[in-house]
Amino acid sequence: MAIMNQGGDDLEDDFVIDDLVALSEDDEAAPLDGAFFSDDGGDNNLENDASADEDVDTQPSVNAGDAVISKKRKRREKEKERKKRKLAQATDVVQPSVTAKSPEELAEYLALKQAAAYPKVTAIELEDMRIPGVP
Amino acid sequence: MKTTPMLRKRLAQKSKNHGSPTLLFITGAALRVADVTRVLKDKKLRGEKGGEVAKLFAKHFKLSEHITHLKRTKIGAAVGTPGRIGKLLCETDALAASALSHIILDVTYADSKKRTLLDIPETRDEVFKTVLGGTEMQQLIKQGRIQIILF
Repeated sequence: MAIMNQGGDDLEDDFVIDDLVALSEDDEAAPLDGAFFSDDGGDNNLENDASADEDVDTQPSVNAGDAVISKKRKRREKEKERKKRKLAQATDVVQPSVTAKSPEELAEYLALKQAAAYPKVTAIELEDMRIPGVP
Repeated sequence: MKTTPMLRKRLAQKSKNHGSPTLLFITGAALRVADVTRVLKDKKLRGEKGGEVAKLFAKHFKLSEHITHLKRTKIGAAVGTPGRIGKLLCETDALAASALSHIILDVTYADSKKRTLLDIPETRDEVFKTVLGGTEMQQLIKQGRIQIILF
């Protein structure tokens, strides 16, 4: 009964695991015999206890993993919010429309764009092609 | 339209020849063309006599389809992208500048990258080289027969 209540971590400090025993034929044969899956038997109970302990041990590590993931998620959300704010700020700055300029300024604007369209053309030729403003 | 009463008057008039609009509306995107066309097709603007409004952009329409459409339709206004309008003006005789009085450049519309018709290098080059760059067009602009409007 003492063995029944003993878990994997309850071994004595001076206990040394014997490799030969650990890999003995009895242990290997046990699952093949079907004893592992049987409802009765001490071995099965031991296994159940051990697995229960394992569950307990693995839970903190899973929780730590969740915490890391949630931190990453929060970071991403914050970054997204920052980007959204930046975009909103960029859109808030309404640039005055080109069309609000005077006819002379518009002619100058068109001339600038025309010069960009013809980068290799000389200034004299550009002047010749220039769209005149309203007289 | 209040600032250009002459254009309003001309849009309500019957066009004489096939494929010779009084207005060319140049814009950067096909979707924008559809929106502008819807506005220009309004009966309040065209009246009963006004010519058709042609949609001229390369998406979903072949050049040959536009040529056949323009050759048998009396249009009052043509709305389109600079690429397609430039091709129709320079490479075909389907779109004529004989009745043209106004060219509207849609510089208000900006794409998702906040670039306008004259900001995008491709569309800017097409506007100045094919639409406005033709010899006939240059002469008509200098004579003052065609007005360039920045919308």
